[in-house]
Amino acid sequence: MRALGLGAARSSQLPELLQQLEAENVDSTGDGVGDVERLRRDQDPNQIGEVSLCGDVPRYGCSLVAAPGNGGGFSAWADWMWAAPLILGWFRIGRRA
Amino acid sequence: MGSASFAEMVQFLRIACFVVAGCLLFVPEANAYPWMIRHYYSGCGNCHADPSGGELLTEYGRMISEETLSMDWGGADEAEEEDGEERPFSSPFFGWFGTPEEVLLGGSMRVASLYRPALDDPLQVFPMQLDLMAHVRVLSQLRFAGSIGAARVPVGSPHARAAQVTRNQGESYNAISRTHWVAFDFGEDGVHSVRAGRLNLPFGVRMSEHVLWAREQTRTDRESDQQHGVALAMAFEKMRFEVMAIAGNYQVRPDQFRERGYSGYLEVLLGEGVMLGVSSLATRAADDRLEPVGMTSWRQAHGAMIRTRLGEGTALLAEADLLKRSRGTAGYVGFLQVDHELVRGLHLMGTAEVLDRGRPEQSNEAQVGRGQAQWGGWGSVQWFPVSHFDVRADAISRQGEPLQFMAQLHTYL
Repeated sequence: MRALGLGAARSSQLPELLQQLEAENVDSTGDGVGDVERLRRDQDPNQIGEVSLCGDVPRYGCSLVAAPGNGGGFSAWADWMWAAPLILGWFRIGRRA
Repeated sequence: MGSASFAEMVQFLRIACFVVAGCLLFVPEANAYPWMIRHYYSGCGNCHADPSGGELLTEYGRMISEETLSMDWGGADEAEEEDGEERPFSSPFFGWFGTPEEVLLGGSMRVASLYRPALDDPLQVFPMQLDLMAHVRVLSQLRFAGSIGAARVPVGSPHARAAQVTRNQGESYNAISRTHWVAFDFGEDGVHSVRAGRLNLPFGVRMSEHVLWAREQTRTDRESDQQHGVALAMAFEKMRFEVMAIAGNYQVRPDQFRERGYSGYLEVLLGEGVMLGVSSLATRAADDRLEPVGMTSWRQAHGAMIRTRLGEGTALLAEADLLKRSRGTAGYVGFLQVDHELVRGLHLMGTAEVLDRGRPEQSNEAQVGRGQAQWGGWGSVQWFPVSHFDVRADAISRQGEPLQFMAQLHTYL
């Protein structure tokens, strides 16, 4: 990242530089997994193998799920999902009446 | 862990083994036992897909629920004929569609509101449970079951996180799976089973109040405390047990936070409507998930429980457990709950609970809840107006904690 010009005074360029890193498929350790992909997996791109970026803290989610989950887009309607069975039940009662 | 505390741990385990063995020696004879002790119903496996109870209901369980739990409004739940099939309202998904005999479907949707007058923002409303469940019998002795749902909890919350399937570590929604397992049934009518997968830990009274200290401190609630492993469950005429070899929770990583060990209970029907049981749990992890210190962490809980009918419409549940953790002195946790059904479907409940986690070994100073008893009390009302629905309100007062009121609307699909 420093080679691409990232510094404390230019942190606003971080998203752009990350895109550039991914486009160029930069792999600092040469272990076959790109730096940006390592970051997506919460792993240190400067270490060979799967070394956690966060150190010794518990992380949650199934080990078999490849990509990190992001429930952001789900939230808007999931907050109201509990109401769906009420509607289903109400219509069912209405239909039987 | 120092050698002294390891010796203490071993001694603690020995005592627990003697207690369990002693109870086994006095088992009168073998057979199934009631879950709804008030109504003398026996055998959790008759009403639930899980042999130790909870979650997905069988067809028989739905019928019993309709006949004993829901308020009696005077009319029968008549089956409606559609597509040549009769499906009562109490059927899965209100009878909107039918399922083959080999398939059980269900779901649980729970919205909760929490009111804590002492806080700046006293009212919180949130979806507490959004789960769908399925169970398929493939051969006469082979069954598959699982649940899938969604949860959103704050970072660092002890709830839901441990059941995550997706890997979002922030505050957005995650897909969760609390249980998923395969079972092989054996014995006459398949009343015994061996299961493998993510299972509820067999320990103590299996109840819905997951924040009760007895469930929280033993980490044996049905909310997200399940673990992967293999369990043997056997049910006889007057005794049942389930014991599980815990392989760790593979929805938590890295491996150092996975607990391995065993958990089990044994319950005996002492007389009509009186059941006595013992539970035991011991696990070891390279580090504790909820209180990480970077050192090996042993956790033990051993105790007794009783469930009894106290006359018409009243039941008593009680549990007392010894607690022991690495780098801490021994502690205890327990509760006593009296449930009275005023009229069918309307319950009044009073619960008293006590907790002493034990104090840190390096400290001689006892505090409330750590070296000294902490007391709590719940006053609750639960109403099952019609099949599939119940509402519940709780007032919870705990020593050293602000008073809180909780209300829940629960739909069982």
